[in-house]
Amino acid sequence: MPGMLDDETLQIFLEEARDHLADIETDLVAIEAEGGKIDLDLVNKVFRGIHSIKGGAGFFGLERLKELAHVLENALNKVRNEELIPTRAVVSAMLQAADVITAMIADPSASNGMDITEPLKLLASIDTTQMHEILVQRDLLTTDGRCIFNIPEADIERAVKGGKYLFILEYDLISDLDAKGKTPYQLFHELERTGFLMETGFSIGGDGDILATSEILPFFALFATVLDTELIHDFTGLATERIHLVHAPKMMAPFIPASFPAPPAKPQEHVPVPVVEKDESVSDDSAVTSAEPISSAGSAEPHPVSLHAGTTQRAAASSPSSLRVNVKVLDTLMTLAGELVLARNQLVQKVAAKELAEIQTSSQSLSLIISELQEAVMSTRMQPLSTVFGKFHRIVRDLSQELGKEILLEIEGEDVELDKTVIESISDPLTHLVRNAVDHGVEIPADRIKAGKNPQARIHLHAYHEAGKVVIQISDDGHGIDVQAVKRKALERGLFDANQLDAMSQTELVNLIFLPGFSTASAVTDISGRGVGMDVVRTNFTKLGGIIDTNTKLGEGTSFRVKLPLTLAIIPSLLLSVAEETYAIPQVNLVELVRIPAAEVRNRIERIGQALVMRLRGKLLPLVRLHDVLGLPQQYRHPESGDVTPERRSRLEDRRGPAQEETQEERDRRTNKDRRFHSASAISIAVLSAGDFQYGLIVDKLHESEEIVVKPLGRHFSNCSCYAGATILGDGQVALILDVIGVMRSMKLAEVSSTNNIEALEAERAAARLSQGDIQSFLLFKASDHEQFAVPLSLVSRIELIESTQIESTGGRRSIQYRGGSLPLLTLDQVAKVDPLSDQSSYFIIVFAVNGKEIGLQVSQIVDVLEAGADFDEVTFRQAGIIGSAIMAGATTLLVDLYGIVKVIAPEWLEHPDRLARLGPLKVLVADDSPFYLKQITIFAKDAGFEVVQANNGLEALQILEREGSSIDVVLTDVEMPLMDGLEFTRKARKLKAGAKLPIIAITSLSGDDAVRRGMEAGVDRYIVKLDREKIIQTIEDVLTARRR
Amino acid sequence: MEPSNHAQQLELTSFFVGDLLCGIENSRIREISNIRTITPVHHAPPEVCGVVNLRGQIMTVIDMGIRFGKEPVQVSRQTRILVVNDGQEDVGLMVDAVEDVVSASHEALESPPSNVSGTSGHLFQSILKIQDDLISIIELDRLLKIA
Repeated sequence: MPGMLDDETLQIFLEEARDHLADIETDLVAIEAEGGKIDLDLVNKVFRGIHSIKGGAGFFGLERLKELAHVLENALNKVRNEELIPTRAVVSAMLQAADVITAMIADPSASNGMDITEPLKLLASIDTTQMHEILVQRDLLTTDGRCIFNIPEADIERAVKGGKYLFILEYDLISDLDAKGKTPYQLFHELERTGFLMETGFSIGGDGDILATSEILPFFALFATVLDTELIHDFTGLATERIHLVHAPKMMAPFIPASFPAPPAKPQEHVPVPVVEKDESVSDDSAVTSAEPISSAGSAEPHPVSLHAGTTQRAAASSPSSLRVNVKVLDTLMTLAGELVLARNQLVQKVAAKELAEIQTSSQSLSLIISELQEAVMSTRMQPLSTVFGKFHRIVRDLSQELGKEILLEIEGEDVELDKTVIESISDPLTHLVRNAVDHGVEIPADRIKAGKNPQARIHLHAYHEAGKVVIQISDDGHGIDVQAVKRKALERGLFDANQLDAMSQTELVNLIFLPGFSTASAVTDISGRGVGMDVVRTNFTKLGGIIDTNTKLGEGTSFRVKLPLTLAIIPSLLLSVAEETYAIPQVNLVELVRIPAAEVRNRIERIGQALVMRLRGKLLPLVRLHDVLGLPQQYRHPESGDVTPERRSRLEDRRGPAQEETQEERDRRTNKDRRFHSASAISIAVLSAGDFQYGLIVDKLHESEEIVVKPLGRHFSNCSCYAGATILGDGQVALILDVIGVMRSMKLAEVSSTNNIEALEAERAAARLSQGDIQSFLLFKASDHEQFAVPLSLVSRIELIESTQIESTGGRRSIQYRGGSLPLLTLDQVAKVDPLSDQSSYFIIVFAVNGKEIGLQVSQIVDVLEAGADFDEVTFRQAGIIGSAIMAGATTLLVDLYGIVKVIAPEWLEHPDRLARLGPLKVLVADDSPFYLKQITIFAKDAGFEVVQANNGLEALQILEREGSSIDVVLTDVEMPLMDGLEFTRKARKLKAGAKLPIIAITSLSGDDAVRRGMEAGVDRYIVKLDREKIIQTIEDVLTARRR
Repeated sequence: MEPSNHAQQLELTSFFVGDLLCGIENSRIREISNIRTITPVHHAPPEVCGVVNLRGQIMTVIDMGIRFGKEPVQVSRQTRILVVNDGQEDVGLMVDAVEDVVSASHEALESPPSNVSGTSGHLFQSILKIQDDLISIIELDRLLKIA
């Protein structure tokens, strides 16, 4: 490689080539559209571009590139001369060649290894005469007989048409260019001004290694011009012996044809022998030595060859990427820099003089200049949208051809400018939208005619400014989005149920297409069915801080509107902190800020399964703690002292104990009113939107909004998806910028509790409440990692969180000091064969009462509270302390027999209820349709010393009552039963002689004043909740005692 | 980096990580900075103690103590950050104290043992013996490769 062909020169060439190629697709498509009516300016423009690429390629030894460019140039020339009509096939071949050229420019070092047979074949096939022409080569010699160029005959003829001279100009790169500080590029431009530069090349001569021996580096240019030898001498400043005339008009000057006796090493004739080897013309023997392929070009990283080297790829390929900046902008920058220096000088002086007032003025003017400077620097990054829009002509053309559609693509506002990074990132999602419009949006001509539309469909791309943002609109006049189809699809996919869908507005329904895995196209096609859905499109735009919305009318078309910020480099953001660390969140992701006063925490925040949720205007919003996101230890800030201590609560919602403690807490709140005013115990939540998903981030403190400059994080953080970058705050500290989507992913929020899940869960609960079955609330808990247990919530008095150090062991029994007394503690594994209680520093205690005595069940974890029917399996898992099992919250759950446990561990706590014995032997009629409850209540009653008669429904109970009559002392009846319900039974029983004064106790899971009132109206004496043994026995005692009196 | 030449002198900056005296070639060190506030980055590899503001650029800082599988560097008045460039970006190496600038000839270098006082030898390119001291010269490219 000649030394001067450094990276910089190559970069200039590549950049120019990219510029030429940028518009080539659009231009070629336009040429095709014009058809026979050749737009000469346009063809010339493309021609010139390819021509100059060819010239540069020759100079850098990019032989393949040169060859391909050359053939393409020939084809274009034919079009220019109206010898070739730019039909679809012709333009397709040209486009493909342009694609390969683009790929070569993207990776020049690999270009010589690329296969160009395909585009060459295609180009040859469009014009059969051309291949022949390429093959007829002619050697062109210098006056002293050196063979420098080997050029197709036809090219020479074309070049000298119109009375031109053809020269071989012999430059010396070292003395003619390098010494004068000229680049080869400048030279080319100079020459092109007065003629046509056909070919360039190096020769180090046939007589030895000039490079090694001399300070001359010859460089040859084949130049066709109207200037004669003398003028060329004046123009180029080359010595006449270095200007070799090879062709003069009208044979007036020495013309040295190829048949002229050539140097000994050369074959005499080189004419119409078909060339077998493709690159023979350049790898010809001693005379022409091609420059080495560019292999050491430092910036040319290998890139895969792609036929669809789009804008982004080109941008990615050019690393270090460079940017063209308007000179005016540079001037402005210069001016501002000058002003900045002046302002600084002033400031320095005034600071030295300690003139405060003056310093203030200086600092004001300084900040003014800096703002302007910021704006100007930002503007250097702005690029027109045409870089993205340009490629859509090609895409629409190719796709419509493939799909048999006729489409007119209209583009408006390509000169709207956006930040370079934004431009690069919107290319893919926009392409997707355009492809979608072509594939799914518009109909085939036949259908359009049927619908009474113009057979040619219209796709309109429109970019414009709106309120400091850029809006890009992609609209088509196709058949629009079929909302009913969307609905069906959503139903099919099980994303929503029919009721939910019916409740949705048109817009909401249309927006369903942005859900993951949603596609309305009935067939997956090559064009859009690439597994990339609209959800990805939306995510991409959202990442840029953009918003996309949809407008569609069935039969008339669809329009997508994308709103984008102008830049990403400086973004408004919210600062917040957790554990003394400050973080920034982009304002675009911020929906609102919520502060929950301490007093409302319990009401507003709850836990569903493992997920924390907040009620916000009737909806459930999943919450995450930034603490957890970052893996920080939990800390608690004392409201008054501000001291930070490790958090003792393991659950946020435990701020107010569980349900049963509410009354106690209410009292506390009233007596201790100022509690709620401690802001430190309030919770600050930033509600964030990550695409279609919203969640709340719990932080310690919310700070102010600030415009921040986004800076990248180093490569060591490539695995930290939670951060979008970093920024430097006013005090010089670094603050990390949170990536809203990354945080969501890292917390697996979407999986645990997507909005749908929560809604579904809510719906399930509501449905469960509504259904007529025996529904009860259960408290789900765990004592070890695996097994899940449940107890009826109605039996639970309270739940307490204790430290394991609080547990005392006395006389073989464990207890804690509790409310001035001692609370005995039990564990499940003391009785049942279950996994032992896991070892923890703190435990939950489920407090329940037996015979008026409180007992605590020690468990490791409270899972949930949920409502479930009486669908219990009382066989499979039945054992001491376990009544039965059921599937709850997706897991097999053992129903704990609290009473049974106590009976095993401390039977003395259940001292025989002789108070009932006082009343004499008693017979109780139990009516329940659920075998499980029937059995449970029977056990309770028998334990309490009753004789029991069972009935499976109201009718059976009534028959028993009629039959046995007076021997029954008390009736316990379920309310909801088949055949005859409890209330009906009561009404009928009251009419019987035996039943008129009989104590009837309704035991039910249905609670609420209404249910109680209806029960009372029917004539029941008491109304109590199932499975509460204590209460059942107590109630029996009460009613019987009352009756006896 | 200049190709090593036997005639050339090796210029090193020596510093302590714990009680281990290490060296990095001067040509690889851009500057030595005083300790400044380091912003922790959670979920980062343990060796990375955070990021600092180096004249407007965000620079990753590596705790050399942890990198060597030892105690983390205890921040004191002696603590320094050596700014090195790994070809892509500046990286700060937090060390306990910077000791000296040493020059030595290449002949004085010995290949490192497989274990340099508890730290895997592959992080060092050679050992330099100077008077009574041994300076373990760090193989910087390997050091900066943190999974």
